[in-house]
Amino acid sequence: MLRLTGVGKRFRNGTEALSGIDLEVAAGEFVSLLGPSGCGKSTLLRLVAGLDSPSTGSLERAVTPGPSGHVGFVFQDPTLMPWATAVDNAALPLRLAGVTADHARARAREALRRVGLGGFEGAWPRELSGGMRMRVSLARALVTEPRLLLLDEPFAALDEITRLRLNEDLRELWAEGGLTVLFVTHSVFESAWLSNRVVVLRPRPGRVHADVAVELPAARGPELRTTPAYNAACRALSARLSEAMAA
Amino acid sequence: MSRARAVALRLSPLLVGVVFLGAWEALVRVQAIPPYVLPGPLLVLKALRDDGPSLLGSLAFTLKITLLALALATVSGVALAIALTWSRWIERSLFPYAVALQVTPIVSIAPLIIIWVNDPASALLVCAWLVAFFPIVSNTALGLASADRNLVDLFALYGASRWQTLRRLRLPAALPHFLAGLRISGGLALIGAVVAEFVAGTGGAETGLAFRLLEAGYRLQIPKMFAALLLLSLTGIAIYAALQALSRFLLRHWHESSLPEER
Ligand SMILES: Nc1ncnc2c1ncn2[C@@H]1O[C@H](COP(=O)(O)OP(=O)(O)OP(=O)(O)O)[C@@H](O)[C@H]1O
Ligand SMILES: [Mg+2]
Repeated sequence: MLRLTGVGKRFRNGTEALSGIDLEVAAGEFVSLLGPSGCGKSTLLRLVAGLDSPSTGSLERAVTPGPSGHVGFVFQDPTLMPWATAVDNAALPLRLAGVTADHARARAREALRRVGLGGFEGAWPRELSGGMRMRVSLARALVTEPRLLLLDEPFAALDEITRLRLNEDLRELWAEGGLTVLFVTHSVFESAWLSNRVVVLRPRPGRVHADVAVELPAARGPELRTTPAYNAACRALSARLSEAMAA
Repeated sequence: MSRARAVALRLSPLLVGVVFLGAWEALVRVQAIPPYVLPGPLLVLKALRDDGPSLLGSLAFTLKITLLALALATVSGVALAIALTWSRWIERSLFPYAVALQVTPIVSIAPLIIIWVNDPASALLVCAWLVAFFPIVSNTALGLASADRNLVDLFALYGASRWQTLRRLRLPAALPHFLAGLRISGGLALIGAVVAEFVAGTGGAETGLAFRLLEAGYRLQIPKMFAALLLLSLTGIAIYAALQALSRFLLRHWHESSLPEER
């Protein structure tokens, strides 16, 4: 799905955000990017989304971002249009691709149902809670049936209960199949619970420090969080993260 | 807040007005100030009653110029704001002139405009348009440029064209700023229409309130002058209130400025 070879990014002000990133993601994987603040996670995700281009190295994707909607993106903030209702926000990618209003709305309603927001189609963003707004944002990313979903610390600003719930929903959506997920987080627990593989990044400049497979059962429920296997996975990841931060 | 206090808060400007008018009337009577220096409010009311109908005709003319100028300023201002944000080149080359127009006092160019534009009513319209234009341009341009960065990225991700980004993102994001500019321009258009007529000394076949003000001043009909002044202020307040209401209506669902207070 994705192949990055020797990707580096230097900003115009001279900041070297990424250097020599080699990363391959196969179709259908759920990969987390884990690293301390400022190590270039967002930069990497923006490169993958085509919102910015690498200064060095090459980046290949099996899908192209654009009107096709094959690539979906969820930001740290819900980033909704305050002047549009939930359904119109979720329908935006389709409208931009030239789908008629009726058809786009019908599919947006379906996407809202998938993220558990059935019945809130006509709500304005300001009438929704933070968690619900994030769900609208997720519905918007899913409405085009993307093949690659990029998420940049999407649940970081939410309370614990909402975050765990959204984690479960996201994992379920992924389990329905056909979706490759690249998930940026700085939470060890979140990355271990969600993903099949965690790429630990190291700062200044951002490089891959470790690439860890998460050996946990495919079916993950809330009860997994208290199992010894999960704790062991978290401990191992924590250790790698500490190394990365010390490096 | 209790209901009684809320009502009192609403009525407080009215109370201030009544006290002020009372003091004014008392001052005029006690000091026996002649009406051609300062008429009391009762005398002004009487003048309003006697000359009201003829003043209203002039008011209609001034209002027509004001609203037309505001409409012109809106169309041309929004168009220029879009052009300014569309390309750096356009911005660099045009913006200084827009600023130059803005900082040149209208009183100083009004005589020129009146010479150049043959039809007096059109000359007034041009002057009012000139002063109403800039707040709309600068506010709208600011609004167009202040769309959420992440939303701009999102539009780019889905390959939106510049036109789509303008229509679905930048214009709606600019709406609150545009409306703030429009409220300022509403008052300025009225000022422009009045000042230009002062300079021109006439509105042509029809006459506006400014001409009536001058006329009453020459004839020392000071109460009538005050009546015309009162109409002018009321018009300004009405324009502001109407634009405020429009703004609240358009932004009622989403903008912080227009949300109901309770939340
Ligand atoms: N547009 C930019 N111009 C210059 N420097 C930038 C820009 N964007 C990011 N940087 C720098 O690149 C580095 C990586 O930033 P990035 O936002 O990718 O980090 P991050 O891992 O996402 O951090 P966080 O977890 O806090 O979101 C930082 O040092 C940042 O200052
Ligand atoms: Mg980031």
